[in-house]
Amino acid sequence: MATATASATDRGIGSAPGRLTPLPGPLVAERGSGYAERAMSMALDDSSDLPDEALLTLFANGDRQAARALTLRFTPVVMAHAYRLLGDRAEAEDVTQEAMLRLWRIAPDWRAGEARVNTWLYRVVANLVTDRLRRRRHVGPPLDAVDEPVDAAAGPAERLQDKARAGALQAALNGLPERQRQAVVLRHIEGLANPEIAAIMETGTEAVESLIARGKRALGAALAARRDALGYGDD
Amino acid sequence: MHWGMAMTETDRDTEERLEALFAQARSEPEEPDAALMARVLGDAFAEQAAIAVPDDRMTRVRRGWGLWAALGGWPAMGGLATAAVAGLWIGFSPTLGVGDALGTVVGGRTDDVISLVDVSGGFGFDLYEMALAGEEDAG
Repeated sequence: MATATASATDRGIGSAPGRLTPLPGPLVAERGSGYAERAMSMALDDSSDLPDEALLTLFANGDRQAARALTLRFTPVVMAHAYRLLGDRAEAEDVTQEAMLRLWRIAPDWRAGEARVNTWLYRVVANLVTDRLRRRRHVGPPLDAVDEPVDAAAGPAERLQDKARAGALQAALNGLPERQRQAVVLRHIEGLANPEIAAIMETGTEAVESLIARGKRALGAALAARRDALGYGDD
Repeated sequence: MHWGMAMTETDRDTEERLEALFAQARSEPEEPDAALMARVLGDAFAEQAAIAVPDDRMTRVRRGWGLWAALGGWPAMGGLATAAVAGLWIGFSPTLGVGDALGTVVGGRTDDVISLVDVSGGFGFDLYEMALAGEEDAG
C-alpha cells in the first residue's frame, strides 16, 4: 500500500509542522475496553495522550514510552477485529502480533496525513486473515468450528443467554463469505462509515453496501434457525 | 413476535435483533491478555533497537532535526540563500545602470559572478541576462 512505501525523505523536515496538529484521542477509549482504564492507571507519561502519528514518530526515534502507548492503544483494537474475522483466539493473537510488528516496521517511514493508523491496521489485518483463511481451506477445520463460550461459574440465566447469543453471532459471522463478514464487522462492530470501509477493502462504497446487505440477510437467516436456543422463540 | 411473520415485520425484527447482537459484540470486544501484550511490546522494543543508529553522532543529528525543523528547515534556508544573493545583486546593480561593465567593478570576469549565483534558478537567469547587457554596453 502507498503508505508503506514512503521514504525517509518524504516524511522529512517539510512535513514536520503537520505532525503537531492534534488528532482525535486514543481509539482504545472509544471501545469501552478495559484496557483504556488500565492504560490510564498505569501512570504512563504524557505520551498516552499524544496523537497516533506523533507517537509513531517518537517510536521511530527510540522512545520506549511511545512503544508502550502504541501497544496499549492499538493491540486491543487489532485483537478484537482479528477475532471477529477469524473466530479463533489463538489465530487472532498471532495475527495481532504480526499486524503490530508491521506497524513497528513501518513507523520510521510513516507518511503523515495519508492514512489513519487504525485504518491502515484494519487493512493489514484483512490481508493477514485472508492468508490464514486460504491456508485453512487447504488443511484446517471448517469455519463454523467456533468454540461456544463456557461459563464454569454458571451465572444467572440471562448471562448465559447473552453468552449463547454472542457465540451464535460469532458462529453466524464465521459462516459468511469472507468479504461479507469483513464488511459487516467493519460497519456494525467497528462502527466505520462505508467510505472508510471501501478504502480498507479496496473497493467502492456501492460494493460495500451490497456486501453488508447480503451479509446481514445471511446472518438473519442463520440466527433465525437458532431462535429457540437464543431465547427468541417465545417473545 | 416470531421471525416467520409478514415480510417487512420480519425484516424489522431481524434488523433489531441483529443490532442488539452487534451492540453486545461492541460492548464485549475480545481482549488481548497480558501475555499477548508482552509479546507485542517485546517486538516493539526489538524493532526500536533495530531502527536505532548505534553511532552516537547520528543520534545527535536526529535530535538536531527538531531545531532545524523549528527554524523552518530547507525552505527557510532556501529563502535565506535567495536573500543573500539578492543582496549581492542589489549591491552590484547600480554599475549596470550607468552602463559600466560588471567585470570592472568586481575586478574579474562577469562569468565568475554568474557562476557564483547561478544556483538560484530564475534569479540567476535574470542576472545572466543583465550581465550580457552589461557586456554589450562595455563592448
